[in-house]
Amino acid sequence: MPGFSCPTPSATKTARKARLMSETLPIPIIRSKLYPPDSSPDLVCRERLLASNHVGLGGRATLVSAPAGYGKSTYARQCIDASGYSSAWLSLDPEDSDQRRFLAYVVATMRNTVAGCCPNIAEYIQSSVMPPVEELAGAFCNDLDELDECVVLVLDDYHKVSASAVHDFINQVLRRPPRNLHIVIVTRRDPPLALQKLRAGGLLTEVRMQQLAFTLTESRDFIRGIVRGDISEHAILQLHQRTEGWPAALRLAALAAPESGSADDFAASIPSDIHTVREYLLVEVLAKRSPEVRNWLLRTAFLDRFCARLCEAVLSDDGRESMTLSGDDFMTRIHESGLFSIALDDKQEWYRYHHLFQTLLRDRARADIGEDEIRNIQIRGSQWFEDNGYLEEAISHLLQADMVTEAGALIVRHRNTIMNNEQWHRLESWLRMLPPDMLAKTPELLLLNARFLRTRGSREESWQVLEQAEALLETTGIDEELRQELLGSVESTRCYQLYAMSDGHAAVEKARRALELLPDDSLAERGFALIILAAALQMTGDVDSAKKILYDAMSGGGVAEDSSVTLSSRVLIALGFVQWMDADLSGLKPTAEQGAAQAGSSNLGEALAVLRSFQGAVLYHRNELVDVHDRLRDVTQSRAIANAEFYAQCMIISSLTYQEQGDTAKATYVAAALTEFALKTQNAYLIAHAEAFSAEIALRQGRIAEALSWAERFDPEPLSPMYVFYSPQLTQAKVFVLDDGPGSRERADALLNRLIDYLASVHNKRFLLEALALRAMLLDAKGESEAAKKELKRAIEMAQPGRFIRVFVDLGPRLGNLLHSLKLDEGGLRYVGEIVATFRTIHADASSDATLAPTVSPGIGVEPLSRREQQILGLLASRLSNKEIADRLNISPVTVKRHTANIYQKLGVHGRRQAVAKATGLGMFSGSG
Amino acid sequence: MQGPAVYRVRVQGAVPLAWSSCLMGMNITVSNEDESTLVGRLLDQAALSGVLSALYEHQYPILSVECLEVG
Repeated sequence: MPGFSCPTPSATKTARKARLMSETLPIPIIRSKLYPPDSSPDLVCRERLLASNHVGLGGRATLVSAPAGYGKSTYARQCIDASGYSSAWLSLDPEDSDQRRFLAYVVATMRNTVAGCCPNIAEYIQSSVMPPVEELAGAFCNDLDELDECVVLVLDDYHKVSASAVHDFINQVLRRPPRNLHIVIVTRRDPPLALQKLRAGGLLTEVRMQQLAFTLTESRDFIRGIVRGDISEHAILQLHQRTEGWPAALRLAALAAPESGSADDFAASIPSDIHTVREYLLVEVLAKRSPEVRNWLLRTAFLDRFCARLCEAVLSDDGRESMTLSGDDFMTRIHESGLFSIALDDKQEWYRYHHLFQTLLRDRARADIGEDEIRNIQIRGSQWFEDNGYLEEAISHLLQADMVTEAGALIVRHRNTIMNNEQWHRLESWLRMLPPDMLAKTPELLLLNARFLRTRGSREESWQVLEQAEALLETTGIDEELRQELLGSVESTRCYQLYAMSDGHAAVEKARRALELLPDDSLAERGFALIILAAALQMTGDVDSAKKILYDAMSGGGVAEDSSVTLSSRVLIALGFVQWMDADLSGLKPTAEQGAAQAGSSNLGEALAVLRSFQGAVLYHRNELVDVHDRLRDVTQSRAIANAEFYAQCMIISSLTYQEQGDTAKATYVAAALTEFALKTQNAYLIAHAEAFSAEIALRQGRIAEALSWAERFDPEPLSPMYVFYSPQLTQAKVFVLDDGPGSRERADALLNRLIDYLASVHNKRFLLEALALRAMLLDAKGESEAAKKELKRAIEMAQPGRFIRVFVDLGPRLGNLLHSLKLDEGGLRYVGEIVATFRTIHADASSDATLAPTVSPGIGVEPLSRREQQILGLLASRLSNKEIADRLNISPVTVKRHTANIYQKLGVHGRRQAVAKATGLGMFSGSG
Repeated sequence: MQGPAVYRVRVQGAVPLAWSSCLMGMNITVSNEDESTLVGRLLDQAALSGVLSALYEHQYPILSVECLEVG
């Protein structure tokens, strides 16, 4: 978004884009899904069809819909070759019904064609909250609009997708198609897409079975191209009729045809019933291979893609000594004899069988080698995939062998790889592959699910799942080492629960127990327990121990090399929470800066959102407003919302900053955007925060009635740890304090008593100091000015080390006057001077409608000093005595004394040192001095 | 029988009328509370299979499929 003051906006944008491009997609991409089938030399060029289908752009699409074996993919390939446009190919699988996975593959294949394209949609799929499909489709279309070239996107095997989320996306794209995109859908049956409109508009080219079936001429070309030796016109006609122009059957026939002897006899021997033709032909095709190649064919038919090494692994248990063929030999043979194999990459490393051929082979294998051996093949295949790091396929093969328990075990085996690298999307897709009832019966998997839910912010659900897991642990036999880890996980989630319930001591105990139980390689979970331990220690008031634990962790205790960045940013975040709740802005500043630098360079979006909110908090509270938007931009302007909770916090800081900069329209706009976002997530916690914040903005913009109507409805209970920037409860208290209407004082009184008790019990100084300041205002309004001063003094003393400015300024001029009358030490006076000086600048240039309370007192801060008094104040700062001052100004010491007394009274201080301190804070020595 | 034909498909449940465009433009009537009838001319078996599969995936149990007219 333009409009931000930034020295080189374009350079920054480019740098950011470059960084995003290097980002990995949320799931591992199998590259071989992105290549079109290779054109075999014996192809019949479908000129007849190509002539009638012009792959045009501007909203046109092509539907290739026909049963298996009609050469759909081959035709699509010829189509894109003939069109001359760049093309992106994607062979779909049932797993691509997952919307995120589908989009990740679309991005991957588009990027294969145009490097680095689709930055918007790629950013969206990193998001923990997927936006509505309209927005996704819009982003995709915008991405395409930015491309200079035209692209044909082929979605092959579309019938394998069975999710309305994917269909909806394609529908949206087809509704308003980018001018430079042509979508080709290749499918065995018509997809549930709204194609009627395209059809009616003549924008849809349909290629169906009737068009794809070979004409006699095409059959002739094909047969003559493939069969060696003479073949009579009669035999060709017979082959054509018996196969009904079905290209796959013709190819089978060609493969089955005898190398010598009469082709005519062979043609006559093919059954005339089309349903028995393929079975008959397959038997003939296999009969022509050597027993060993036949053996390999039947066994590799269970692999959806294969390479030489994988084939060897799958065959290995079966009489290795009798194996004369190597994987490479086998690959060469099937490639050379055109046995329905399709190369999946440029290097011809990976192949797959043609689907129909694969089905026929499988049917044959079931009869020939039996179900038990097939299971073994699946298991050996899975083993190879696992050993080579293709975990998704390893799981899939186990599931095909009906080995759900083993599939679950495989996931558990690789849990640390996933969790230590925060690949939560991947874990989610794995868990979805398993049958739900098996998930519910396995404690290890339930625990993984609980952790996944925890990162998604679904607390209640996560705890329920955890309880299920815990109950199962007691009854299920399980390996001792694993049991320890599981118990550790239970404890670490439990300690989080206790912390959320504000029971610091119990949480500390649980967290320590978790760290005892968890093994060293369980990095993510140990990190989590460590963070809760630190936060819980802070809750008990033991900030020093909390910090020590985190410092130790940073200096190497339990942080392994490989994922050190992930963990060390987490540790910095924990330190940030401790410092925030301890009201230590000075400590928080470097913590947040260091963490944000790390998280930013390692693309840890979730950590970055938290750390940016810390940086924003420090700047806002120190009243360094000009820098806030710049600092928050990479979170608030990002499409990928890595963490909804902290995205919301950053939006809140941004809105408040606009408000206090006098841009009320932008403040309102951001607050409204936040509400809209919260409603979209359907997260009750976020919605409550957004509504409360709207009331805060209403209050600051002088719409008291609106704020009050919210405050009267809002239930502040149950109070839970306030570790983020914003607290709805404090807004509620503020509304009641600032409203002088009937009943508000009593409400304010009750709420503040409750809040102050709670915040003191959990040692949350950050919000305690604000609650105390509010109570001071309340007491002052009731005429109890001494009690008010006492309360405010406590607040100031708590806020002074962190140098909070805005907490007090935001409470309005009434507090300013109260501050001025406080009796404090020198440091305190200097600090209060700074706050009062801020009040004065605000009211000097405040726009009248942006002020908090209707009663603006012109006398905030200090009664102006006379010229002479200013002179004397300056000399007091130079540590001159009254006598020296009198000499310097050529007046009597008595007069000096009278002036100093006036100065002290005006500044509300006793004595010259206090006067100098306060004047320093007020900035009276800067400028004209 | 490989070419176009008019089909009538009956399913249990009320199919939203707006789905017509995603179901090859078949005409949908919801006869009573719990039954829908789809009638329309389909290009071939791939189209029919697409309609049946979409109904299956949206969990409408299929009661009958009839071919009313070939061509």
